[in-house]
Formats: sequence, C-alpha cells, structure tokens
Amino acid sequence: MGAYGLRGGRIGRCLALASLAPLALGEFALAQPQSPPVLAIPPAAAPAPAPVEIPALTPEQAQVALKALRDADLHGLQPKAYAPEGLAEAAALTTAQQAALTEGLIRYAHDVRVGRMEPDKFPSLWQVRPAAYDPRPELAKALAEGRLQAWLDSLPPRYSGYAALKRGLVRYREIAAEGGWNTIAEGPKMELGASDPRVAALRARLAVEDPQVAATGGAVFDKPLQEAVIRAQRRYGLKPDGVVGNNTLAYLNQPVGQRILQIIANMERWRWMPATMPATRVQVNAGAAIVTLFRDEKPVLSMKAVSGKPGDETPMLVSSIHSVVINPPWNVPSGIAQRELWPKERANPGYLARNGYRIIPVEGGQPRLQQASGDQSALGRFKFDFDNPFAVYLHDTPSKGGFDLYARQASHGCVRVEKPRALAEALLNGDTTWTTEAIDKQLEGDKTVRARLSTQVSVYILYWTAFGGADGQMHFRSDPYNWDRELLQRVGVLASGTKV
Amino acid sequence: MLKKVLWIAAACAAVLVALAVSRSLDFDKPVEPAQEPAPAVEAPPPAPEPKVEVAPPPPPAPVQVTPEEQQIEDDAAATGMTTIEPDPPAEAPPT
Repeated sequence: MGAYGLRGGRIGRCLALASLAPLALGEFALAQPQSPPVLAIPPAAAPAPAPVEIPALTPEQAQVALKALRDADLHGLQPKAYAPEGLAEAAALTTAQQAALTEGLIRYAHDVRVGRMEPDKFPSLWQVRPAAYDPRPELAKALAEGRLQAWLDSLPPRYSGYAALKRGLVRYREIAAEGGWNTIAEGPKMELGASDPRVAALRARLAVEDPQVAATGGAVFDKPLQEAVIRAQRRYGLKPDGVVGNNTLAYLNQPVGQRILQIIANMERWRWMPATMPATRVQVNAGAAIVTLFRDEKPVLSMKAVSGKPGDETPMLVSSIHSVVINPPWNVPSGIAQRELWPKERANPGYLARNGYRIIPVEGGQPRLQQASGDQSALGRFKFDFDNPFAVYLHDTPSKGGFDLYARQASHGCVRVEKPRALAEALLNGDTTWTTEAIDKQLEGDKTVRARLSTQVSVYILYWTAFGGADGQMHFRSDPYNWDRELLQRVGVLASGTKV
Repeated sequence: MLKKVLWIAAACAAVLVALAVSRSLDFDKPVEPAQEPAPAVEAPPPAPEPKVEVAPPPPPAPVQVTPEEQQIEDDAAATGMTTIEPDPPAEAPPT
C-alpha cells in the first residue's frame, strides 16, 4: 500500500475503542444528545457542471482579467498557467483569445479559491479538504453585473494567516532577487563574547530577515547579536538560547528558495480551509506541535503538544470534541502491542503487569492489551474525544519531559497536550456538574468517567510550516512530515524527487 | 362740667399734636423710585496668564501584555491566524 494508504498501522494508532472501553458512566456521566460531528468528508467527484453562458469580456474587463492572471504569482500560482500568451492589454481580442482568457479566468478562480489539488490526489491523512467549486456561474454573474474586479478580490482565503503568507511571499522573493543570503560555515558554537571570523557572516545573515539587525559590525559576538539570534531561534521554533550551534546554522543556511516554496505550500493549504470557522474552537498545528483554544475568536489558552512522529503522522482533520474522559484507560492498538509491548514482555517477563496492562482474550484472535487508568496510563488523566476515521484524539500523558523538547513529533499519531487539566476545565466551563471541585474529586481515584460537553467544540488539526508570527515576521518550521514537498509535487510545482 | 371741658380740650390738643407730627413726617411726599444699583465698575480684563508650555498628552501606554498572554498570541499565530481580513475597498468603476 502506498505511503499514505489507510493501512492498519495508521488506523487506530491511539485506538480509543470507545465502544469496548469499560467506561463507568456513573453519576457524572451525562446522557446528552450529540450533534453530528463536523468532519471533513472527501468531496465526491464533482458532478458535471451545468452549461453556463459566460458573457464576452468587455475591453475593460479583459484588462482586469489579464492583470489578475499575470499577478497570479502573488498567490503562489504560476501566471503562465492562466494568462494566454501573446495578449496585449490594449488590443481587441479575437474570439479565440476571448475564449482562452475566459478559460484562464476559470482555472485561476478555481485554483486561488480551493487550490490546485485534484480531489483524488489528496492523501488519506489530509482530511482537511475544500468542497468542489465551479467558478463558472459566479464568473458569468460578475461579468454581467460589471463587478469582475470585486469578484476576483473575493476569491482568495480571507484569513489573516493567508494574508501574512502573501506578504511574506513578496518579501522573500525580494530577498531572493537581491541575491538571498550566504551560508555560514559550520564550526564551533558561537555565543556571547565569542570572537569568531564567522560572526560577520552571521550578522549579515540575520540582517536579511531581521530589520533590527545591522548588517555590519565587529567580529565579536555581542549582546545585540545574541538577542538577534534568540529572535531567529524563536522564528524557527528552536530553543532560544542565543547560542549558534550546527542545528541553528542548519536553519539559517536553508536557501531562500526553500522558504519561498514553504510559503507557497502553506498558502495552498489555506485554500482547503472552510470559508469561516466557529468562534470557539481548538486549533492544533501538528507541524509545530502547538495547541490553541479560541473562545469568541480570541485565543484564550495555548500549550505545547507532542504530535505524531514521522511514519505515525498526526492527520489533518476537522471534527468536534464531544467529551472529556477523566481517568481514561488505554486500549492498546494491536500494531503497537505487537511492535512494542509484547517484545518487552518477552524480554522482561512481567513487564505488562508491572505497567498496569491487562490481557483481554479475544475469541478467535490475538488477545488485546488494555492499560488501566491512573497515573501510569499512557493517556494520563484526561482524554478529549472526537470522531474521526483514524481514532486519534488529544490526551494527557505521564511523560511530561516530551514538552521540553523543541522538535515534538514523537507520538503514535495522537496529540499529547501539555495542560490537559486547563483544557478540560475550559471545555467544561459552565457545566454545573463538572466544577473544579468535581474534577478534583474524580482525580482522587482512578474511576473512568466520560463528561459530555453540552456544546461540542470544533477541533482543527492542521499542518503549518510557514506562518506570519505575532511579531510580524515570517516563522518557519522544519516540515517534519515532508508534507510540503509532497504537496508541491502533487500540484506540479516540484518535479517528483525534487528536494524542498 | 369742668371735667368735660377739660377732656374735650385735651382731646383737641392730642389731635393737633398728631396733625403736627404727621405733617413733619411728610406722608404726602411721593415715594422716590428705588435707587438703581450703581453700575459695576468694569474690571479691567484679566492679564493674560503667562503662557505655560503644555506638554502634549502622553501617548496611550502600550497595552501591557504578560509573557503568558504573549505566548498565547505567538501560539495562536503558529496554529493558524484565522481572523478574517476586512473586506477589500469597493472598486470605483464597474468592471
């Protein structure tokens, strides 16, 4: 099966087996109706579009159209894919040119609105997908009503994250046009007070992206330079210690062209997003391993996360958190049991019992493992359940050390959260049953209970490797799943095998 | 009889005295109109106050953001800035 097929090892990596889990739906369990989950369903093959009569473009409209198509690179698209060759803006168009321009407009409108991915080219783990979109009726209406420019302006995603990438694309193309930046030779660590011939190169490199840095200066690693290094490390999601080792150098030495491609890949992903999102939601960036809770459109809680490791990638998906399970047991997926736990039991008999696992016989099949709830449970004290075809969820963990790392892709696909208690209280806020005291009381023991949310909260698991930061600068991550390259190849920006 | 005459004479004398007193009091003199209050002496305009250099009001203090709030903002950007950008300005000529 292909790399992104729904093979057994990828489904149910953190398998909840909710129906099998012996959840004690005791006095706190609330039998509340569940609204259907918000789950991105792969769009069915688009029906054949109804014939639409598209009016001929007036000369003014033709000019507007040509300009939009020639500016397609502002959106990370390739103008030559849309703008017919040999069209002069002032010249009258032949019938064939009119048709070519109209077709170019239709292709452009589609691509800038919902992206270039064919529906059948989405890997199964990329469940955040746009609905099918046929621009023809809208184009015909816009032309007839004389509002072509307004319609073109309305097509790209309206999110500030997309707008920040658009600005970033312009900026990094300017940097590329000015020659980009020079790589800095590897060597000993550079830190405050060090005198190193590479300090000048470091200063010049940082100055390209950071307007606070002067490109010239002495060869001594001084305080302002250290602060600039810390800012750069924050932009790259590295440990902000102000010390330039080979890891920091590797990020600084990525060519500007790589950054441009990252921006283009992330702009493409923004086109898969719904036009609007609920005001209250949980957003996860699996690429940066960060979770944020938005309430009434404002971020009110954020925390580090640990997302799936390469090979066990956390899928991109949209769903709704419907319940918080307190003291969850862990029903071990068979793949994890076979690959990781049974070998440990064979090497150290009694390992399973010592770690709270019990063996549940399965008639006619392999016995399955379940780890009891409690402090040693791999799911910690909280699990946040939402429906999805991968049986992934957000959960607590007893392994808190993972949050101290700066590359936090280490799970089997689920998302471990740093502040599960705070997230649970925020989601259950207003629930008179699940007060702080009631949660405290429940945590005194190991009894499993499921607290259903009175209002489900949407969860978006996304994958961003380039984004505009709160500081106004472009931030980049390392593309831990290689999904940028995958995407760019699938939309034809990169030839297969090209290294991003 | 003498007593009567004396009483009448005393009464007449009293009337005469009363008449004399009333005349001295000028009861028939027209009442003078109330005196207008003296016009207030116009005070000279106050001397202009020496001009004091007034510093412009200080710019509003930047909203203090705690490190925790800043971290939330940073993290929110990392998970995708999903605020909706304002509408583009309306186009002038129809296209």
